[in-house]
Amino acid sequence: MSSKKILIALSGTAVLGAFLLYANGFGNNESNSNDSDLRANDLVIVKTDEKISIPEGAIAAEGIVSDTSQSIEEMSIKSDLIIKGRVVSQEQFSSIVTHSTIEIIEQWKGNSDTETVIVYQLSDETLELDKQYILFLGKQEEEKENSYYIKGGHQGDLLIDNGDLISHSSIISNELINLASEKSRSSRESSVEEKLKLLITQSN
Amino acid sequence: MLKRFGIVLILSFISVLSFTTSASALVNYGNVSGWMASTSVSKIGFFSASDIKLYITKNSNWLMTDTNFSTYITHAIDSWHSVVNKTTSTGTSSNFVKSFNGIGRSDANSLSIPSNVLGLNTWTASTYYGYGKAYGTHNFDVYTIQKSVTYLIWSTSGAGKTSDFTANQWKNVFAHEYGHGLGYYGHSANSTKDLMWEDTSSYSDWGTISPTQYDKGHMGIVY
Repeated sequence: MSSKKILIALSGTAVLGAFLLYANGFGNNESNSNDSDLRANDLVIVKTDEKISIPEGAIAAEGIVSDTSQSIEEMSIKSDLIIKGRVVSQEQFSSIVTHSTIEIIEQWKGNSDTETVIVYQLSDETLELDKQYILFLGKQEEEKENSYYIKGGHQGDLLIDNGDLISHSSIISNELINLASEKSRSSRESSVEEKLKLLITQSN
Repeated sequence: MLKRFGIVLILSFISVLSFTTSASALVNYGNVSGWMASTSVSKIGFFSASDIKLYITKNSNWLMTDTNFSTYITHAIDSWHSVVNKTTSTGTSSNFVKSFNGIGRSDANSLSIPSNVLGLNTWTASTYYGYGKAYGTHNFDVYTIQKSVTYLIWSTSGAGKTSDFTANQWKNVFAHEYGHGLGYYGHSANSTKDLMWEDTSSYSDWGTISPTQYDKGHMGIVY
């Protein structure tokens, strides 16, 4: 091969290499800025009154809630209904919302005339089928009488597991630990569940 | 001869390139530091596109002014910009990567969204990309996000009331939801002061309006 051909081949390789480096963002100085390049005045807001539907193929659904509490007592006062119940069935309402049917075992606060309640949750935070929970519930707006949501997102569901109560919330977990270590006033309140029931009935 | 040599050279390049692309097996992130989400969370995602095309909508039940809506969105983008290093531009309903949609509580009710939720985010298309481990024992999966959609809910009453939110509270909500949109799955288990903590109850007290170093560290795993 002549030196001319080698030179052309090398040049072609260099051009292609340079193109690939450019395509991968080499020398992109924009990333040095702490601000994005699109300013508030540049944003285009489209007004639409089309019916809202959840896009197909959603695999994640995380929400933010505004009604968490700083104590069990506060959560108890804020709740419309507090029950001990078991998850008997679940229905995927959409790719982001699940409805769980809860069989009421005991009612600790509120008056539900039905044997079951429906709990609305975003699909990534659902209760577990067949498990028992203590549930702090709020009334779901514009829905059937027995439709509820969980107070404070996950904060208002306590899983009953071999006599223990398990919470996702550090605030509630710490309070349950303190409650468990409190001296019982009678043999009936020896379990943490019974102590919690007493605390809730006294708070309301 | 020269022409044939050039064709062979280009074809070789293309075949090498396509081989490296198609043969890109799942990426192993190894044992990472900085994981801040709860250990019940086993996903994290990231935008693969270098430019985030925004599509913003509102309906007649969203009563925030356009000026405030734009300001809060810009705040959300700015507050995560140093982590994700992406450009942003205006997109359309068909080519957007990230959308913000202002809706009302009645719309949220029609979607069966719990009454105490004031904002939510979904990834609408994603691909399994890799895996890793946190704390030496906690396994997680990594996804590339093709599109993510955020709904913000204007509510004048009830547990999810937002109509009386201060500017800082809204900035927190927008930045929080944008964090989810960028790939923060689940919520921080680290501190109530993290932007990605699961509720807004303390926003009015401490006023954080940007991701903390821990929020950034978590997303820094994939960006």
